[in-house]
Amino acid sequence: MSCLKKACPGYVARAEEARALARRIACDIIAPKSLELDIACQKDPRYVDWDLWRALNREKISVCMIPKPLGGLGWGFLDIFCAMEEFVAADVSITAFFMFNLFGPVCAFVEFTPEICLSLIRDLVMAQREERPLFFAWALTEPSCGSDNLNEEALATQKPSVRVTRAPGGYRVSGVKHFISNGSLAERILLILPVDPEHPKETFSCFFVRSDTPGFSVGRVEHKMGHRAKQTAELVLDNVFIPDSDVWERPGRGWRHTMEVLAVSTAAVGMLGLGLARGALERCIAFCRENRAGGRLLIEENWVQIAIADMHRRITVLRSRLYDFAVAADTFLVTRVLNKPLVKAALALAPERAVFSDALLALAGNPSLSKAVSGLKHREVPDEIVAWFKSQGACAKVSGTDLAMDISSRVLDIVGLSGAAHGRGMEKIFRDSKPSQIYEGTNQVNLLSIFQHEILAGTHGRG
Amino acid sequence: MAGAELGRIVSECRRFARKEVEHGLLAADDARDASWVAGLWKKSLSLDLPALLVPREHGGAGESDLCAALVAGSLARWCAGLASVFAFHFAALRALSALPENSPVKARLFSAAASSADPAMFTVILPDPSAPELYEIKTQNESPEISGRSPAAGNAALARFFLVFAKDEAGILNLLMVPRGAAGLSFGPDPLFPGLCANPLLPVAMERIPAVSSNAADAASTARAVLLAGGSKAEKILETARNAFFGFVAAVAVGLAEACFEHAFDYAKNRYQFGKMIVHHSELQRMLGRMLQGIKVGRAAYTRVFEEDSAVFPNAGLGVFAKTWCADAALSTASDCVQIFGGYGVMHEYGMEKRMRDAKMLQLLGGSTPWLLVESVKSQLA
Repeated sequence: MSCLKKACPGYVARAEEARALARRIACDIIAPKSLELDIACQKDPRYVDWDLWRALNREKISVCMIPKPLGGLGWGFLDIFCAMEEFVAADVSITAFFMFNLFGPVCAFVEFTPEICLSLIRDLVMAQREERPLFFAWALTEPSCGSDNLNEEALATQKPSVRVTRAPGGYRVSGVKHFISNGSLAERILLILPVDPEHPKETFSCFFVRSDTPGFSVGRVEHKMGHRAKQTAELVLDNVFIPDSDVWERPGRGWRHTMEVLAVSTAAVGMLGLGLARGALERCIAFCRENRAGGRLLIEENWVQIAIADMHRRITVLRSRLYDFAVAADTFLVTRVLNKPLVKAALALAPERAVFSDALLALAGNPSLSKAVSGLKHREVPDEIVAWFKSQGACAKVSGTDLAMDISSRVLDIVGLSGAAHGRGMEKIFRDSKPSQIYEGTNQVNLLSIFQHEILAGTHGRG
Repeated sequence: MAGAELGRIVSECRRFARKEVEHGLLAADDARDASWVAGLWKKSLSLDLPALLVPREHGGAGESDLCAALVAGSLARWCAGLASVFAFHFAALRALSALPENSPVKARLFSAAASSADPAMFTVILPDPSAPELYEIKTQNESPEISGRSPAAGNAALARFFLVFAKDEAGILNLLMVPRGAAGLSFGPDPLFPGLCANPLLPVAMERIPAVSSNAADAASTARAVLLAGGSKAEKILETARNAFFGFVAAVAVGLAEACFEHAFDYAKNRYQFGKMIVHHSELQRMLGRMLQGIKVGRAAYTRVFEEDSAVFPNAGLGVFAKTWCADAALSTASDCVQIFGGYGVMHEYGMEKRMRDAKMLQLLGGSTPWLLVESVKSQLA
């Protein structure tokens, strides 16, 4: 980070600011709620602590990716990663509860059509100011297709259960999506599914749906091992009509959309893993400094010292790799477009009311303009760059979540039964770590993707 | 006991578990309420489980430790929390067995466990190498008193008798029996451990509970602790009880792992991905094979714990290694099982995440693997 600081002082200063803000939020807002919320959500998986949501909303976390002149925090990937580590070390499920909402802006920026981006920015900023919840959900998983959707080969051979039929002016969708993060709270949903179940890869699409659309309903909210403060829900689609205007990616283009979203979301899950591991280790060290066995403090045991140092080593190495990823993402993915001097100058100069006006939104809906702007972004972020990041994201995801699982289990072995009480927080991190090895593609499927991209395709070592 | 007879007992246990345990175990796990286990404890009378290790001359079934281990393992296929109740109970009975035959307290306690109407549940609180000394005996006005606190004791919510090891001021180890009604015995709030929730482990505090000799006239009092053995006898009983407890926990871990393997194997035969059922992928086969490795070696290890020690096949102190191997294998198996189930694995209603939480607790009971391994070498240095 120190070399980068010399080269790009402003960029690093913003990340340090993000970390400082996140650390304060983690200490003052998240940590005090962590354990009580875990118990409350175990009893009632639909429970939401709206006071907590309001406190986080006031800190503008929901609009952190929106440029500053438009009312957001203007965070890029490095800022988000720095903040996430702090949030997750305090509590991963509360972090997921509000940070997974970034699927909204990330998906919009991936599309990069002026109408989608402008309307989403306006709605998010207004909702934040009015203290009105506005949740997004990214609905990929189906009962028969989980990780299948994250691997090209598995996607091509999957048997999707959701059915899509062409209707005048749009599509009709029936079926069930499940294990959808924040699905029970989301007002806006991005449905990722194939139009033709016989040719899933060739017809993979991205549809935008509002929760008040006739035929849309929320099924059950799952009772889970961990990540309890983040609701995981079943979405039921009963002949839901989606107009052509709400097709974000037409059949056949959904795979690219999915890859670009996953490129950053898998790496972000790797960051969750790092935060979990750090949170577990910090709690373990505090326990070992206070508690004794055989007349000695646990921290005085030679094997405990070696184990702690080893865990610290692994966390430090992975952190460095994840920050490298974030810097590369800011340099080559969509935030590079937002950081272009022309875009920044335009945002800085244009009055907010003009940017958010209906007139500009109507102009943004012009198909030619949409095509031109979206095309410009796709040239800036070509498919081969996306594929590289998808592979690197998978590496980060597997490394981070395996580390979390390993360290969260290992610290319990060190602290023993006394340290495994709920109030110590370590058993919760153990429970929270396991799901992270599964969502955003099981680690096995991610490893296969790495093999296919890095080894079979012969790109190994080019990074 | 002949293998056929053991097989019959295991089959009966499985039938019992299928009928009585399967229904309600997830709700009990959620509720952390010992009343579910209390009901099953009474129902287990139909199989004579509470008195399984009580000698026949005291009205019990007089079965072997291996039989008890197989029973605990069978129950663990459904609920490790319930199985752990029997692991603590059996280990306590094993400690009592080591007392002299003419001990009046021993006869009385065995009779209580063998009661056909209301069998008493026992537990044993063993030292944990990752925690400080739990209890100590101090003499006040020539009367010994036991004080201290265990952060977590199995069967604490239901046990009628607690077997406890405590050193006196001279550093001599003693074995005591503390009845549930003893003045000064209290239980802390549920620490909310991640697993074995059907048998919530509770802190057990003892505040100056007077202890009397087992020959004393008031040894049958329900308000006092009774000194059952001291010195080298107590050391020997501790070794016996720990070895048996670790063997029983190993059996519970293997039972849990067997269930995980079977569920994962069935699921893998029905889940389609990459154009075929996932059981046909060699990585899945490797994962399932590793589960079998843990289970088969674990089963061989814990059965060996309960066989005769001999110069040709020594097994003294094998319990700790069987326990650490089996508990580690159980966690690895349960974690891989959850992984194979994917999203379903972490959902409560499928029961796999519960098994993973239970497996983690089995690793911690009586000391986690690294602590026990360090201790095993330290004890050889002493």
